[in-house]
Amino acid sequence: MDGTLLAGMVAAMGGIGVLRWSWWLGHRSRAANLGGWGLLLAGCWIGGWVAGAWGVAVVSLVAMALAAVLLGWAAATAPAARGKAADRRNKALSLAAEPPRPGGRVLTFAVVVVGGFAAALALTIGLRAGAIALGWSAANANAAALMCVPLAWSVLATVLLMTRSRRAQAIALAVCSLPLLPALITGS
Amino acid sequence: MTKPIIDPATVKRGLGAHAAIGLIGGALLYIVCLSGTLLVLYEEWQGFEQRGVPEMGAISPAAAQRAVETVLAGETTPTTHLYVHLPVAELPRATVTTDNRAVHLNPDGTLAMAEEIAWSDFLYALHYTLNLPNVAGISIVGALGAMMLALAITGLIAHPKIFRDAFRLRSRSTGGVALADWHNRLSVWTLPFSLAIALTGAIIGLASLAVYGVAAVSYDGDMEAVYAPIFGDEPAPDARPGPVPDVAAALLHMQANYPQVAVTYVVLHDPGTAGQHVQIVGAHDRRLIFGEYYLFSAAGQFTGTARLADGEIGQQAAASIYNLHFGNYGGLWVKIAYVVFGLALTVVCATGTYLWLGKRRRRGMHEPRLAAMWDAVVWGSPLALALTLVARLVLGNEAPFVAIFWIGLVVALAIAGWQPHWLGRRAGSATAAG
Repeated sequence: MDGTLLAGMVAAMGGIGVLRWSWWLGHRSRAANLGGWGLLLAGCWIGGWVAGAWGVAVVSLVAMALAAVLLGWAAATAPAARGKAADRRNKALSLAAEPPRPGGRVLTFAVVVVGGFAAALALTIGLRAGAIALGWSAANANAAALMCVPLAWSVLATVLLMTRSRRAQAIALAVCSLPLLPALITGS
Repeated sequence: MTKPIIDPATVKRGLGAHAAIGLIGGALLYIVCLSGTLLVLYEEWQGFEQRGVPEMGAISPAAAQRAVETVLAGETTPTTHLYVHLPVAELPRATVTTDNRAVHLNPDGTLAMAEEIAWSDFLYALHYTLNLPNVAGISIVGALGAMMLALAITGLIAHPKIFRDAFRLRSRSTGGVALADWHNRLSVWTLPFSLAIALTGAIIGLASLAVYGVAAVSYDGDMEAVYAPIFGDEPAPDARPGPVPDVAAALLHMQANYPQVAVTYVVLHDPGTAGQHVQIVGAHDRRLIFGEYYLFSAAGQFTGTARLADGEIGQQAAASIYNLHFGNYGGLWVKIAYVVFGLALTVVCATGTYLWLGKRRRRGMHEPRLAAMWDAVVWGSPLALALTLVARLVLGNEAPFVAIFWIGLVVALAIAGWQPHWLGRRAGSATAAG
């Protein structure tokens, strides 16, 4: 194996090790955290420098594999429960207090899935047209469009589901869809 | 008192969004993750499913030419494409596939036997389309990929301490603590993998709809024109009769000029017509791209490449999506890593709904029927898959895998809904989430 790539893997593994040690400390250590994340980033950078995206992918897998081993160790050495746990109550979700609102949920589903996808597609078409106008090649603009749809939809779905009102949801969908207009007008 | 990174109201809304998306995707997301984990070993499953096939390290250009001529001569209906799968380390077999049939080859290029990999193909279709019609199925799976991305985003918003507690795993705690810890720790440590898998899966799945939209606005509805700048365009068809293409010449050109490239496929477009042309797919070492298209005329004359390996960044990125999704870029060790992380992702899907059920139970909403039905999904899906594999071994290649899997799963769900106590679920009993 390429020595430099190996160095990248070792750096990434070192990063995981330092983070594990940092989190084991009783107090937060900014230096240790920075060191851990820094080593992880350095490992990925080395991987990318030596072998491009392939190198980054391989170094990331090695780091995740070490983290999985450490996690397995944490699971195996976890102390046994001291008795019956208290019946925890998570106040974050107040499901019991919520009325069923089946119509509202169907509408939310439609807004997030149908509306969200349509708005993401509209945004994508608009951004692609903008990229072409900026001088991007058709290959780059079309490939970016393929990647933009799921990214935009997932972010929009998050925003829509975290938005409090239908009005705010409608505004989010409208804002996302706006870039389609110039594309439709110019046909690009 | 330290100020929280994200304010509690946002965390609450993030958790609500996380739960909502998880429940919308729920069972289908779990099945896609499970089948995807198994599909990482697609080539190995093919080897397991049909043993006794002639295996070889390589096949000579002359033998490949002989196979192409024999298969084309035996076609009852003209084929629009012909693929020669060349032996590779994961699957050291040579196979010719047309629109009408697929046959394995002997090392000398004579036909050995019909390909019988219906179970592997069922698994492939389950993951790609949930066994639904093509565009609808793949788009639904793509939507699940996008929702998986949204789950990652909302999961981070809903758990501001997720990185600080990244190694805290109270695996022997009760009251839902252990399950929550498993869910959160596996999520955070597989996050780069999950993001890569979700994004690439969503791109693959939603490509048809995205391209349809772009084509409608910018290419007068011509969907192939959207792909052409990325993967290269197809020459105009010419249906007049033509000779059998010279595949051997193309392969010899590859041996002489690109010895470092591992040739994986020969693709003939419109074979036997005047408009036919030859594509050779060559894999590049230490690259994420699935390969480069080397283009040849029917006479075996090299005409150029599609520039997936060294063209625009968009071309290289688009050509890398498939391998990044399926882990086909680093041999067996990368595949093993993908199986392990894929299993972790499957566990995250399963535990998410158990956590939601556990929270409802702690609020006094006992739902043994719902919990039993989720049990049926979590345990019934792998069992139904195992049943299809048994059917393959007992009944053979023609076994009705789709019916066995889906009917098996529906029956498991029906039993769980009808008699939840058969699965150990009683009103007021603890869910798996504690």
